[in-house]
Amino acid sequence: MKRFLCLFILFAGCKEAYNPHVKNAGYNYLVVEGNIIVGNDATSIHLSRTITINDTSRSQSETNATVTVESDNGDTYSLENQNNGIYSSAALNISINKNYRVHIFTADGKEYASDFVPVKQTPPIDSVSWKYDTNNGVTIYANAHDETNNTQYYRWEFAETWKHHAFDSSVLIYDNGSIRNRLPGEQVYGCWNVVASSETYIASTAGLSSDVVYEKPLIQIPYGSEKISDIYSIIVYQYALTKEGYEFWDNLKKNTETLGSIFDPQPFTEFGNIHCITDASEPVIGFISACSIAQQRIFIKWEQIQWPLQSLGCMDELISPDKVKETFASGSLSPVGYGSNPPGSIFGDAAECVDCRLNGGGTTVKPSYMP
Amino acid sequence: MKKLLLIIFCAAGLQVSSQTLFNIDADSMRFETFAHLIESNSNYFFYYDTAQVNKLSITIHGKTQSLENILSSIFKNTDLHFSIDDENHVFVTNSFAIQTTLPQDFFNKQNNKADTLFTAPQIQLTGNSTIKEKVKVAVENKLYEIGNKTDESVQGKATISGYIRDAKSGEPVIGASVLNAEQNTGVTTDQYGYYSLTLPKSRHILKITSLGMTDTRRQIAVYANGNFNIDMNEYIPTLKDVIVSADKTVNVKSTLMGVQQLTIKTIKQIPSVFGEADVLRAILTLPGVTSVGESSTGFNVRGGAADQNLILFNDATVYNPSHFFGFFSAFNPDIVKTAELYKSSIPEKYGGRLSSVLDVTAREGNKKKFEGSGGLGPITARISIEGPIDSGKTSFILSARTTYSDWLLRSIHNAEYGNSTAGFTDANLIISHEINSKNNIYISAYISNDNFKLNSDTEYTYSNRNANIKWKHIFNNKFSGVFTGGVDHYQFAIGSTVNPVTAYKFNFDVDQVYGRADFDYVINTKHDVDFGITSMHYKLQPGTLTPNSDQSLVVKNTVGTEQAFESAMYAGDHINISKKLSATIGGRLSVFNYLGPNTVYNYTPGLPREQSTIQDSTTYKSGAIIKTYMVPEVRLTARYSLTDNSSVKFSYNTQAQYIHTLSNTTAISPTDIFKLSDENIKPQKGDQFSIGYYHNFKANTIETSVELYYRDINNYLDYKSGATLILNHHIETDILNAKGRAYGAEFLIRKTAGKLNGWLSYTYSRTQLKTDDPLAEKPVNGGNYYPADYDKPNVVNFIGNYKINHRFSISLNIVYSSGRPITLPISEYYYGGSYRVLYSDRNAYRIPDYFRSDFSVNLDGNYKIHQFIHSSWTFGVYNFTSRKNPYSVFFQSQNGHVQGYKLSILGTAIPFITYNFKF
Repeated sequence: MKRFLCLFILFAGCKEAYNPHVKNAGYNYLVVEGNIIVGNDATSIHLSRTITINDTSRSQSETNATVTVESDNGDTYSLENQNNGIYSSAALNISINKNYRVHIFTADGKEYASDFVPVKQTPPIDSVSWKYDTNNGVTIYANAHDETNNTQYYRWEFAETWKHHAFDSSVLIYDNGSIRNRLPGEQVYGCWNVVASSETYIASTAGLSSDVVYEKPLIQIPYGSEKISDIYSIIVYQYALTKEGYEFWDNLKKNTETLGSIFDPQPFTEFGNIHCITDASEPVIGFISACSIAQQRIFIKWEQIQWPLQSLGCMDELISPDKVKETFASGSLSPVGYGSNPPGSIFGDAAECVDCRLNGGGTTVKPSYMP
Repeated sequence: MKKLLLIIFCAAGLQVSSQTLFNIDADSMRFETFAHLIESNSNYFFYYDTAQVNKLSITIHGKTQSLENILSSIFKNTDLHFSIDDENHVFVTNSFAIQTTLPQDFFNKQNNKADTLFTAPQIQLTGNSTIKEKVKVAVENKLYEIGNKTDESVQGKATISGYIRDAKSGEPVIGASVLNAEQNTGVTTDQYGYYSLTLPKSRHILKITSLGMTDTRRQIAVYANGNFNIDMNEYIPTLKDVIVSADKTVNVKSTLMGVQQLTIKTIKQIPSVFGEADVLRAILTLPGVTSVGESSTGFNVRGGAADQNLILFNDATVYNPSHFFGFFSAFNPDIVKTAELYKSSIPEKYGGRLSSVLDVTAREGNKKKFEGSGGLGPITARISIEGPIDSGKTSFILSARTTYSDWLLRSIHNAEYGNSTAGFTDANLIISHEINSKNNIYISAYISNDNFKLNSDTEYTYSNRNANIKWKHIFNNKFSGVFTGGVDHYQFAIGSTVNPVTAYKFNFDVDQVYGRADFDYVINTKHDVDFGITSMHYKLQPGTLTPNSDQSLVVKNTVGTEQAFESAMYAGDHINISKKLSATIGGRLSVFNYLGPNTVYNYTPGLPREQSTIQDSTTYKSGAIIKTYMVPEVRLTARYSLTDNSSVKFSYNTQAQYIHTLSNTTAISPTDIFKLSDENIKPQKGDQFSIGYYHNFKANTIETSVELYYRDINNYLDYKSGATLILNHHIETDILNAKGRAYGAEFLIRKTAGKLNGWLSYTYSRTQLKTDDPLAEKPVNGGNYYPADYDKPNVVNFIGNYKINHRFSISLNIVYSSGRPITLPISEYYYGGSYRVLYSDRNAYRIPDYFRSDFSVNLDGNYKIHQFIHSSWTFGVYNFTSRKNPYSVFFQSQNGHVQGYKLSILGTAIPFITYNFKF
């Protein structure tokens, strides 16, 4: 059947990873990301540089710059250098009726500025809803509307948090040559994963008779996923965009996320609304918008869907007292709990069955917003 | 209708056969029918040449009489004679009667010329020939007299004309070459099988050749203008010997350049993905033709864009020539007769597209008997029926095709693909009617419907609808005309209902109504003139967005209807300057009127066309002429024969195009919209210069040619990055003018006869574009020339067919080409939660080279003529080396990281089997 997949679908079966050799000409363009936030939320701008393809050192932050937010009538707000490429400030006291821009001086003496952009008021998120069926799993949607019909262009980001468990709930720990009870901070049964969205989620209501976003799909959680094995939470951030801002994100999505169909357009880079003032021909990547943020968090419990979860195939092993030390010292098994027959024996299991971090990742520290 | 009543009075016991009496009541009966009736009701047996009697029309009414009397009255006022021998054999001959007994002194005089039975060796009988060969030989050696010998002086010239038809089915033979052997002058038949040839009044030998037909010749003595119809036999390989046909000299002798004709027989030999013969796939194997990839039936001819090809199916414009993601072409192989691609010297008759004309001609139905044919493949089933409607004057052919593919998609137990559907249907109807020898009517209709939905809720549909009627009128032997009227329609729709609030339907359609009159006037042996006028009315609905559910909030959005007239008049003279040199000098004047009602935006002069530079708008009333373009076009070709089998040719062409496909996708897509030239979008113009050398070897069975070309394209449409093409009320703000240049050399060696036939071609070509719009803010690649998406410098094609025996042949198809250009990223950056790629120069890289080989085995059923169903099987493997030819290379940001991918379509060996039948 795979042959027919290739034949008809033209995507999956015949899509293979491939890294063509491309010349790395050492481009080093400035990348500016962030929003000027009106209201009570912090404004933060991230400066980085483009990197060569497949460069393993990854993101190169621009650290020694000076970043300010300016209004079109001369108000200036400085952003604080966090020394990791992020320049931020607590809530800026900016007016909804003015236009603002970001103004940057980099360490190499160059000056950059964005266009002045109007401030858009983001309407609240009506709801973050979800649907469940066995084919598609759980799909999470954003719903919003603006009675004044002024928003029209929306963008969302989100962060997911979920708790998952190890197979065994271990009460023991092998520590420094002996077995002892786990302390409250040492539990490895429950883990919390936090993952931020990495794709572009945008919607336009410009062609609709009223400014309504109904069930904009954000993320699909496949049927049986461990993401919903205990409790899952998603916080959705909503931003209003200008038409130009929407076009920037739309082009970003089209050129970096959704290529690969048989009817692809020519890819290109949409650079955005930031310019190098020192050298007008130098490309700068990024689009600065100004808006307020709306957010909403929801929780989904496994009990609400009760889908079957994959079991790891873990099996406790009873270790006799005489073998306890060598078994757990070698690390081949981790202790789980005490056995009763013979006394002094200990149940052990593979480390990934005991420590949730080894299977599914995350941290054992519960985020404050999780119940 | 013939009515016939036959009563036989047979005087019992009478020995003398001539006393058998017949009572025949016949009305316009053919001689063959008459002879057959007599034969089946008596012991008379007729010997005659069909060609000699085919003009006879027998009308006899109720008189009981002897055969001698009947024949005497039938042959009265004709040149025919008859004689009946003792054994009741009736010999019908031309000019004189056969002596059925030997002269009395035959055995006494050995060399008495006066008594020789024949004045000319009209019939040569050889011992082991078949009857058919005898007839052929008889026809070929017979001298046909055109005009009355005594009427006029033997000085001057005369024009003969007529139809060349398939002797078996009565269908016209298109593109047959009628050559005056001594003078090296000739003509080819038009799409109705009609020819007109001017010759000096004297005896000539005409050589008649056509692809797929057995060559034939006629001896004629021309005394005056006259009609001369010629029947040709299909080239059926006889079981005992292989005929090596000669005189296939069209490629060397014709003045046309860069023309490739494929008959359906050749097309059927080329292995295709699903075993169904495919015109467009076959076209793609010709030198100078490329495509951007596997699933695209959009093709690029000599560096032209896919929308610069005029695709005609029986003179109807087919806007979308592909089905099913391009795996099938719009032309049902059962009714296609020939496909002709003009890529260099485009006849002045055609216009409106820059690159090429693909003229696909359908068969006419069999005028003599009912027949059917069809086939079953892995995805499609097809059937066609044809036959006479009455008395051999009218015939029809009706064909239909459909997919039964959904089961295939459904059988894929995968959530992602299980919801996919795809399918198409198409149907053709062709009626041809002969009113009389001077008037013929042809009606052709085509409809196709496609739909697909690929693991998403968005449903795509599109449809072609075409109909036309043609009247061919022969004014006289020198002058004929074809009058055509028709309508073409194309539409597509995209719809989605997955989200009730945004449920929408988008519709696009284009209508054209056209009329044309084309004339051919043979002035003398030196001049053959064609001229005509044509006019077409376009009506485009460039897009309507409507809500598709009750809850939908989608606001209806309609881009204003566009209307225009595209008219042209043309004339061309085919001149035989000398025996060695001939030329065609032609011209065409095209006029385009962009019509109201419409509102046109006016932009600040000298500034880039953007929404912000719109000054105001002008509203035009219905029928008002908004803009007129008039473009004179030149069509020149010349041929100089170096020897009998070699020549050099030259051609120069200019073209104008007023309708454009708006598409910023690499492959032609079923949702591409069309746009007419208007105030802001100028017509595309192009010219092409080409020279070629042609040489045939081995009695013309091996054709070789080299053609070189250079072309320029102006006002080519390119798009601003991120252009919005659909529902754009001011599309000109997203369009950039570009210019293109293309050049190349095409080498072809083709073997047309013998057990092994096929061709091998190598093409070197380049196609480059350049943004030359002075108003462009960000010209593509800084305003420098860059390779077009379909620029493939090196292409090698091999098509071979080897007949192992008469029932069994194998075909091999090998394609190699340079990979197409592609835009690759130059850098990465982190944005929006993910690493992403940064693109720079367009088409600076190429995907890996393309190589594919296919083979097929064609197995015919037995060759018994009288059996109910003739069946054949085709099986083979497409891409048998399983090479994963990349269709595209692209980068995606996934889970925060950049990953490069290679997408290959049909990247595996695909076996196929097709059953074809004929009844």
